[in-house]
Amino acid sequence: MEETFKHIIAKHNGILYKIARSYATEKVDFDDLYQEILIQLWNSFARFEGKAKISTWIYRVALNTALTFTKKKKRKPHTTEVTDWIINKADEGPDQLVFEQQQQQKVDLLYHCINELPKEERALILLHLDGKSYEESAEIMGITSNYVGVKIMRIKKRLFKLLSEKGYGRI
Amino acid sequence: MEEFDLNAIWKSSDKEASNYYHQLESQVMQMARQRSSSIIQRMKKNALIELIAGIAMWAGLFYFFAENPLIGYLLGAGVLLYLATGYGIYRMLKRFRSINTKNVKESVAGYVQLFRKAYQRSKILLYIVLPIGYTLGFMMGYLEAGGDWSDMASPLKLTIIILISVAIMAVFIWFTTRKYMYWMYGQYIEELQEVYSNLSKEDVEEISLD
Repeated sequence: MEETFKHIIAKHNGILYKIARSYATEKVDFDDLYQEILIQLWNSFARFEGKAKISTWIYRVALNTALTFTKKKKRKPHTTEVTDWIINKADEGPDQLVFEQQQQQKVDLLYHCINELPKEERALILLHLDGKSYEESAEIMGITSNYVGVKIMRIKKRLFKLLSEKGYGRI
Repeated sequence: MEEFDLNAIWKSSDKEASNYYHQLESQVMQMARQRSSSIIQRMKKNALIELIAGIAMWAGLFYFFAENPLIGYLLGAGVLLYLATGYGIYRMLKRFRSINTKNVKESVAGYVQLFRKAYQRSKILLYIVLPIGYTLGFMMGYLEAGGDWSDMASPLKLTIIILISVAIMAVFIWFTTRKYMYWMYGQYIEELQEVYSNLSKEDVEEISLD
């Protein structure tokens, strides 16, 4: 059972990572939330009956956890710094490094803007960006696919506006 | 800005996800077996702390005020309080386990309903029990300090003292309990309620689009 669970997490760790980053603004909260999602997945793994797709089950549990996640204690307001998230790139060439840093800034900015959306909108946009169809998103969220479509259009508009305001075009 | 830009950027965070996972791959099971710090776990933990602190306080009261003529009332109030609280926690946990997790909207609705009920019940319980407890404590302290029981027993005087004490305590406790409960749980319940309300707007919005 442990091996199966580890295999599933290894395969779908992107879902956990992206949900945790979309709902946590600080690195320390991100680590807490990532772990909390792991705990909830492990706790409910035995009850997973295989009626839904594994990824659908992971989205449900992870989103439920993220929506009810609260910080352990109040910290000073802090916006995500690019350096907080940069992964080891010391051995890459200068051009590649500049490109990677720009990509990193764009990724950080995107998460930063997603973090500013209401909680349910974050869930919908991350499902959309992960390539989920309106029907799949509707099934995970418990709303109609028509409404998912309407909401996605509005969220994207708002997200583009936020990205422009925060200087996406200048990166 | 084109959408493919957004999707490409989103995709590029897969590398980050993979790097992050590799850093903790060996600890995944260890992390998964840790104690949860979710809101329900924190509610359970707080209830346990309050229960232990309460038992310690009652034990202290019995030790120091064993001879006090009002100790019987205090014992009765304590037993009632713990029975009510214990039953409330038992029901909350039972309902929590039965929350439908079929989809996010239903789960959020279940959490909101459960937390809101527990929140309201706890507040009401504290509003009623704490002023009575403090008043009883005040009366016991008065007797322990050499106060005259026959004076206290005078119906008018006793009634006035109790009413004034309860009124003062009730205002103080109403204010502090409200603030404390909101800070501990209320703000999170409101946030969840907002998520649920926004997910439930769909019917209205769909009708208005036609």
